[in-house]
Amino acid sequence: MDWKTILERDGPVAWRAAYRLVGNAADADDCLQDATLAAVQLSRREPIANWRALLTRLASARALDRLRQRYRSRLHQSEQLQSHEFVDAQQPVEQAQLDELKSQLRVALAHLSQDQAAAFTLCALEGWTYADAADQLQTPAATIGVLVHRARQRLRELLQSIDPNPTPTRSHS
Amino acid sequence: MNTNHTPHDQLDTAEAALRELPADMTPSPSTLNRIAALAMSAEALPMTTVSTTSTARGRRKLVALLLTAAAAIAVVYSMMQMTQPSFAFEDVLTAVKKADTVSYTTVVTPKSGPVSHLKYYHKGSFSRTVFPDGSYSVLDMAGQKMLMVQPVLKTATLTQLGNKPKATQTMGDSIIAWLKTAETTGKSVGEKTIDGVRTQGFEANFGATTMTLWGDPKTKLPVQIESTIGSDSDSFHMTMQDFVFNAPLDDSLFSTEIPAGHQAKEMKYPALPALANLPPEEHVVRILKFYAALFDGAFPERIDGPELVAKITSGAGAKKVEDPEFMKEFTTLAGSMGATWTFRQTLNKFGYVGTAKLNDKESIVFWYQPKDAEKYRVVYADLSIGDATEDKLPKVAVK
Repeated sequence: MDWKTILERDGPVAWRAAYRLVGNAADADDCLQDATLAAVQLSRREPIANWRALLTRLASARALDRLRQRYRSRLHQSEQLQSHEFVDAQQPVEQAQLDELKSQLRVALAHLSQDQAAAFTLCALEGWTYADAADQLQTPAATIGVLVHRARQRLRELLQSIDPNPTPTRSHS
Repeated sequence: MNTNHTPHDQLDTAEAALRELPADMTPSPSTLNRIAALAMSAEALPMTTVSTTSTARGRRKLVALLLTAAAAIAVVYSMMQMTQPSFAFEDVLTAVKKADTVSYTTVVTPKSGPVSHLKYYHKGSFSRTVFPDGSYSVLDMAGQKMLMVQPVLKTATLTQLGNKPKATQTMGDSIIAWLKTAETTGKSVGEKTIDGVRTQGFEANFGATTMTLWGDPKTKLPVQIESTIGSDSDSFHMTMQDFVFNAPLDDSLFSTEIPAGHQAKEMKYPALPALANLPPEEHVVRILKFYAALFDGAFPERIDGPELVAKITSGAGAKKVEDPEFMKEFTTLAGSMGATWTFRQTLNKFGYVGTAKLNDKESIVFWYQPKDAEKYRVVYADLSIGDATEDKLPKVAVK
């Protein structure tokens, strides 16, 4: 297998999918690495028709795992869903609010079921069709639609439960 | 899909914000190259190794393979003399040496389920390795013995190592061995956040092994060590992670008593003084003869380093690894492997070229210049030993 070509061609898309979720390059690197090693194993068992889709799906799944690891323990500690991401105090307020919102969505994603999180990530964030997601997740397209719909419902609930008046900027201290 | 409409609530705004990424936000070429190399290494591992993880018998075979490799490596390490000067990441070495205990997990890739995780504990001259199925080995360096326990088979094998190492090894030596055998000085490779700790990376090479150590600048201790071992089809990737230093470790972890209900077996490691007195060329002949018998007369790319252990164990296959006679022979061979590991530190103008095949009377495969000697001591591909002048040596850079 020409892994160099595969990664040069499809790796960046998968990496960006992971980056959207984890929010930093080091973790995105690790997600792509784990995804690639999982793809090696899969390719030994069956022919791979769409490397980009496979790597993106696997990298997203690894990124969601990291989000769960990162945020669920915090929830247990505080019993209150709250974003703990910090934003640069020097940023414009609007950008800071957007960053805060992104962080809150990441926290919320960590609290969805795996199926809902995967479907939402691929369809809503990566722009896949239900059919494409169904193919990768081996689930009927109609079910994907339901999962995305329920994911959105749950995310809205979760976002509302996050600190309703988030401080737009927080110090690093 | 919800990709191109005007955001109208908090979720839509957040979605849109997450989707927006600068076009130049991409992985670095070096990252992609590193992962590609890792994938190639993982792919090159024999299918049999991966497929044996699906059955209990397969797991036992794989565990036996890992046990054998671990045992051989442990013995190799035990024979090493730590005489090399420290190099660029000396601070890390110093910090590790000062630690009283350390535990960590080693993950061997490709990841084929939980069997890829091994847990290590070090305390003083003791070390313990726990395998995925609950099997474990305890190495008592000072007491010169090693216990291997396989709960699944209800067996416990106590191996007498035969003699005391020249210097009692301390805990963490296996880690330090990885670091000290590097041929470069650990060039800086930037920073990486691991479990919330901002670490600094050093990359070093030893033969066909590339190692990256991620250390905590505050404690000077390793947080993660990543190694790609071997450059040929048997290479594999190994990550040492979850390091815990100076935590109390109960002595019972390092007991070499046969556990109750286990069938006891005993193995005796051949007397090492005899091995220790062998000249270098004899060690090389032993290794090459063993290797060539497994690989149809071919010689290894290298005659030292853990990649040789991995190559031999994978080449032998699970069946041979389960053969006590083979394991005994292989374990004794580990002594010679340990000796060759020190050649680069002690021999003058040492060299090895493994491109010839067995029984080629003309090709020199190994050479070194004994102290005060004019000629080189050489090993030919037919495994005969002789002396040769420098102009007869293979045309490669002489170390």
